[in-house]
Amino acid sequence: MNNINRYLKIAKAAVIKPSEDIDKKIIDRISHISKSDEKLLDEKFIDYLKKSNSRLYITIEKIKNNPGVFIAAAISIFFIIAFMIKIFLGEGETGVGNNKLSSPKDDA
Amino acid sequence: MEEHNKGSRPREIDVKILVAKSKKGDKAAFEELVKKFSKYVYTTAFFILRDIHEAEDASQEVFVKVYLSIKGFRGLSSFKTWIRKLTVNTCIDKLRLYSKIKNKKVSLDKITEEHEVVFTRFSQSLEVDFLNKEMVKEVLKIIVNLDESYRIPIILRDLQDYSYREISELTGKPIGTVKTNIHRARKMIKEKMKMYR
Repeated sequence: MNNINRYLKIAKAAVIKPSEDIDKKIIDRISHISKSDEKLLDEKFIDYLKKSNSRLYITIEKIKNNPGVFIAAAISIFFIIAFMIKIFLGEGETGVGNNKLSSPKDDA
Repeated sequence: MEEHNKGSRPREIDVKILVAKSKKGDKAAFEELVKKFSKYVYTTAFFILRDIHEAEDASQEVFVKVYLSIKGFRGLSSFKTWIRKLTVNTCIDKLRLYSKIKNKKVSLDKITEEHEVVFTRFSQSLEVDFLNKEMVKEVLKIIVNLDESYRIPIILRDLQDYSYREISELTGKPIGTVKTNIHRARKMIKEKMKMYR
């Protein structure tokens, strides 16, 4: 299966050169755009255009497409924050302990 | 432009500049975008529709849509991603519309006789290049002749980098079915490729 995967990876870079000049045809088609062509921009297309222009939508799509990565990232962030809080609180307690040791009452 | 004719990938910076110019109404810049992406759009359309005329029509339709709406493209994703999704959406719609071409058996052999299959990136030795290219062409021949239920998911997943969820939404099939069909398609390719060894 490894070889197949490799060939499929290479296949991504394959393009078929059309026999006739497709560029010319497309450019010619664009040069003769009429009012009726605006019908091509139907509701479905407008919806796609809106979505592709929304940062929030793109982010949500990324999360939906890779939920595992997102969950792993969220768990990592949670542990980092928990670790930092623990260190912070630990330092605080040590600080209180030190204060107790050097309190004037104890000296008296 | 010359670069692309030789078969290399369009450079992201060049594309960004061309898109920015096209948004301002520069027709020459848009024509350069057409030259850079026409073969990519045509190839994607051909693999989905399996008909050279339909693929040509779809390519023209995609570029008309791009031309009419490029001013509204904010560039949050790359232009290639945008045009890729637009091409796939347009072709899937066409496929639904023209059920007559759904089960048509075609051969990439015929296509490769008339049209050259070129690769946009290759960095290995010439001999390895040649062998790989031939094998890749065989893989593409097998893919293009698979049934729609296998062909579309494997094209979208392995050639277009769609997620299983996106394929499921596009084809209207459950994610489990999509995964199974992709797995079966890869198995079919593997079985058929044994004959070439």
